[in-house]
Amino acid sequence: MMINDLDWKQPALIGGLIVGIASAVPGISVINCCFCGWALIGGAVASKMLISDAPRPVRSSDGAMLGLYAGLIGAIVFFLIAVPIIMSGFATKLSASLMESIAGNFSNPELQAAMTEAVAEMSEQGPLERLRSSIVVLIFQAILQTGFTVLGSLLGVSLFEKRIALPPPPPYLGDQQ
Amino acid sequence: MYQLSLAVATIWLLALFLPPAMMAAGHLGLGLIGYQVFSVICHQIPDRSWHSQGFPLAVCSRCTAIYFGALLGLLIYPSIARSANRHPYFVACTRRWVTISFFPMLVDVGLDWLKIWRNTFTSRSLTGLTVGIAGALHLYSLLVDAASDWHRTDRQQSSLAAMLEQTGERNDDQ
Repeated sequence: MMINDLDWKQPALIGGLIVGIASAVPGISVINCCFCGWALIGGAVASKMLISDAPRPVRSSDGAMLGLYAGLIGAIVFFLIAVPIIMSGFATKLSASLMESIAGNFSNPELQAAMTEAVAEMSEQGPLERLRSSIVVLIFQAILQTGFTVLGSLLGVSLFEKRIALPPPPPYLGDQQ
Repeated sequence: MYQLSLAVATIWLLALFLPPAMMAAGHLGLGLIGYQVFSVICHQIPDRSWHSQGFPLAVCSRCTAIYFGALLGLLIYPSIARSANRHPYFVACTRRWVTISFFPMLVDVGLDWLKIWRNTFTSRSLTGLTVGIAGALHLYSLLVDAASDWHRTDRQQSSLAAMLEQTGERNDDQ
């Protein structure tokens, strides 16, 4: 891949840390409500860092690969932070409030009762049960964030790369006739 | 790649209808998992969401409009790209469209936030739709750019390998 000639590791790490930490910590993760904002910001920051240090113009393909690496790092960091938060039960309150707001819209009283029961069950769960019931959600959320980080990185290259990309010179193969 | 992007955009749009469909079918657990998955990308306020079968969609009306706009943008991309005739500034042009398309949305959000004007489903949907169309045109043109980069690199590497192989054979003969 072309990106190998660029120093992508540090930008991907910083971008991934932004995505992972900001998306997992309750409170600041609210920015994600705006079109997965932290993933887009993380991807764009990674692109900006790569462009600042790159000796040649960064291309869209470099941005896509960088976004993928940053997204994968972000997914790992997100998991590492989200798992203890879920096990501690702090996130359960937030999930319960989301469920209650959805339940408030139910016209069917049976469904409303079932939802109230589900919320009550959730708050009684132990740490491992909580983790088991949230693991599928976490996996899908991590995949979504990785995708949005790629988009953020692509947009970052498009916004921040001002140099004009010239076609690469032909390879030198010595004096051949 | 175009068909793949179109398929992804369609599946994504249909996925927004899955949680309400699950809830309506009585699969509360699956429906809630769906809502929780999408909670990472949207506030999901029921009052600001379109409803299907009595339940809010997985994302708000603005986000739904953006994704619908993205599908529309992908559908019209071939005709727009053809009329641009692979112009080298096509990507820059679509970037400008994205920037311009953000202004109505920012005004819509800003006026509502400042309590000057209360935005509506129509204003949220229309501004979202514009951003979705322009965003899809720009992002897809970037993806085309990236794909042609990869293709070019692969071709260069294979031709370089072939040339090096030929050089090696010639040296062996000498």
